[in-house]
Amino acid sequence: MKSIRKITIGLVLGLLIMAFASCKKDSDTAPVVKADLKVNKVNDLHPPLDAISGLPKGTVYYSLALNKEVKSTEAWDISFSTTTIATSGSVQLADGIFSSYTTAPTSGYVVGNVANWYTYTGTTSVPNHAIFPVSGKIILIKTTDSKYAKVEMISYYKGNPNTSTAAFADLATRPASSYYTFQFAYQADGTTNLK
Amino acid sequence: MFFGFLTFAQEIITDTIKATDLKDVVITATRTEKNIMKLPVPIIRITADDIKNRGIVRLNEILAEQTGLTIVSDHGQGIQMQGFDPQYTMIMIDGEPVIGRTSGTLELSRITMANIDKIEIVKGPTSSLYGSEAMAGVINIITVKPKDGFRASVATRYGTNNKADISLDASYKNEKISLSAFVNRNSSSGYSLIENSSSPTVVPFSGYTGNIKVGYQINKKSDLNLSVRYYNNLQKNDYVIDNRLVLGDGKESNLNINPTYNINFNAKVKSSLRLYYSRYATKSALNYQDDQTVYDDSYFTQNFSRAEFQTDYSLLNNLKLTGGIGAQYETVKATRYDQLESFNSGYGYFQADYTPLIKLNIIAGGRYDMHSVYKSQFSPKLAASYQLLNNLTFLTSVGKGYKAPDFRQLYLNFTNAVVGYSVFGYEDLAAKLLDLQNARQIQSILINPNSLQRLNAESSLSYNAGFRYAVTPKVKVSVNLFKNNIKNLISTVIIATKTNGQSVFSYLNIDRVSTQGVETDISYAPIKVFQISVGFQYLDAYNRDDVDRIKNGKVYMRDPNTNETKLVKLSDYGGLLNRSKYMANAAIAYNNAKDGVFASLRAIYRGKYGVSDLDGNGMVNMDSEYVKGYTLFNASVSKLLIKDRLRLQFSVDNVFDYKNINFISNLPGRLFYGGLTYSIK
Repeated sequence: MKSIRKITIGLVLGLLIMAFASCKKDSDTAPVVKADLKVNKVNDLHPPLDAISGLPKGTVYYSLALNKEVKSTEAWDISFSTTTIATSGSVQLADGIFSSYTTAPTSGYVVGNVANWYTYTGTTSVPNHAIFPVSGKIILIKTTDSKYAKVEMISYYKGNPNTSTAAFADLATRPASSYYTFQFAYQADGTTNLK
Repeated sequence: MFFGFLTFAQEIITDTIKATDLKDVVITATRTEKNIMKLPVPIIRITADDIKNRGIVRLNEILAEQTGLTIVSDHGQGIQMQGFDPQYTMIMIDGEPVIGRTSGTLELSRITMANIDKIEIVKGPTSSLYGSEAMAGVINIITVKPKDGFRASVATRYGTNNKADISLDASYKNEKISLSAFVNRNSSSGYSLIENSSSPTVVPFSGYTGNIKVGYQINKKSDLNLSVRYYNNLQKNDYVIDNRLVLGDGKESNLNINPTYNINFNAKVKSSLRLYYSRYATKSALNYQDDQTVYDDSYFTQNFSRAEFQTDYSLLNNLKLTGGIGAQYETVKATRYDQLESFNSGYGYFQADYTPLIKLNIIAGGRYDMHSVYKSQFSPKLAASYQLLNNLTFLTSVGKGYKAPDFRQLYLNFTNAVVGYSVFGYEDLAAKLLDLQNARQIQSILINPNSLQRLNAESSLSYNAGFRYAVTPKVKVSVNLFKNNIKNLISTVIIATKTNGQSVFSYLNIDRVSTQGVETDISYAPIKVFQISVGFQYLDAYNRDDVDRIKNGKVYMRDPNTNETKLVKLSDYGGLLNRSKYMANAAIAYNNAKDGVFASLRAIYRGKYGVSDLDGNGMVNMDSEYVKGYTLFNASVSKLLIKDRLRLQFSVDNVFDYKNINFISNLPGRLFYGGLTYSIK
């Protein structure tokens, strides 16, 4: 008799515990706060180095989805070739600070190269003949499989140098160009949330 | 009492010309003779002695040393005053405007200082008397009036870079007639800031100025004067374009004919009729040296004619009225304009100079301009001075200034053959754009020309307030605060992009700009032969729309260390290009007339100024977008010999050889000059 009681209590307790546990599980899944998108920084991405000059030549392809450099035959999202930035999907430019830009627009994307992402100083200002990504411009990409991403160009030169130094101004000591440093956030779930 | 009244009446004419104080009279500020002590607007006066004692021979050299003025290089050397670009200051010789501007800049070195009596610089909007171009103020160069008898002199100066300046002048005056003839030759072999560069920074040039003046005293009450002035300059151009040498002559000429008739009807009323014809022409023929093909073959001819009639009426002994009317006709014909373009305009101005109390002087006036192309303008001005103490006078003024759109902004038709961009004036913009579209040269139109309003004049509302204080008879201080709010500033904007990747520019009234600041001048004469003076200006010049954009968080820059984007704060904003926040000048002069020794040392400080927009955000915000501040030192010494007839002069400009070869093209380093002047009295 005593053991039956023990077993019953045990069973009831067990059931209660199980019930509790499953209740807890429910409250765990209730309001889910999504973590911010991971910001990936790519440093010194460059096209293959020419055998003779040792400088980048040609085009380099990058996959935002996989966060790595890929070949032109593989699935790529963005490509760089001197001052031309192309995308396999469609693109538009927006104004803002990269970290506070949270929602991609749903329309207005244009197929083709990214226009007006840089300024060229020519000989009118020192440093001469320099390519600077325009401040406050965010490149928004809608990929071929309709995923949204935001990209900010940071530097066109090797090692992301400080462009206000005398060493940069002097063409003889300026780091090599066609080395792309940029940061991006890629929204894999297909929504326009770029937070 | 009757006798007393007569004396009073006499004082009206000679009111401000107290026998001993002819030198305290200024004429530019009010277009009448006015005592400088009471003048309710800021003014700088430079005498011929100031100029000669410093060994200076051209206008740019003397203006560079004045408080609140700076020489800026932009299509020539122009004057910046109260933060305004050179196109907003009218430059006159004997009250008539000098024409011939390149992109708004009047080249100051064109004007010789050898035959001038004084320069009067009025700051603040003076469109109420002079109309367009007098938005920042006016600079009036007053030439020497012949003195009794026969006089002649020769003046020479020669220095570094083979810079030579030679002047000859002769004059004769008796009771009835006065004659003067003046000729000046100015030349230089130019210079290169960059050693071994293939073409010079400033090319060699030589030029002449000639001025003949005739005066005829018809009777005690009226006189007739005629001044004919001619200037020409030849420049030996030498450029390297795309690694090819381009050579050719550039010619420039300016003819001014100015007859005036003055009549004093009676003690209270006098009038003058002034006619003015001016012609400015340039011609340049540049060819590539390797194959003699044409690089640029262009001409520019501007004609300006004006008739003006002014009457001054001393209604009461403390109220002087001035009224004037005038008509102008101006034409331009040039390679970069399709056809002969012309402007007709008429105007009237009025001024009341009222002294209700001995200590209080009020000047109110206005000018109405009607123009064949742009909207009519009314420019009023109100100024007052109050002499609180014998040695302290307060002044304040408020006025409206304006600047008409010029030929370039209305009619230009220019395409740069080498780079490929085009600039069109507003009037023909739509038609020109259509032509380009039909020729399939337009990529996209950014602003539809049909949506644009007709180009209007730029206008400003300005405030000036300050005081003149003779702290002790030896120490004098003057302070002026100013604020100019300008709207409808005409700027170039991109209208369309071409298929060759370049842009089509035109001019629009878009900007709202403000300049404000404070300037001060202190002079101290410890003993009679020494004079020390110090001047300082603080200037804030900014685009109001840019400031709004910054406040709304719409302007970005890159952090120089990480190169990531961040917002531009108001404290980062560098204001308008080419304006220094701080400028100062100091001078020590030793003037010993008894022994005939004059010496001076002057320093001019120009604070850092923004010159570029490297990060593409449309404004100056990074340290690398500024040119460093610098100080220049000029020294000169002269000795008078042979009963003051012979003057020997030696001067050094830019004593410490300061240069900034990347950014400042008009600083060739240290310059030495030696000169002698001989006068026959």
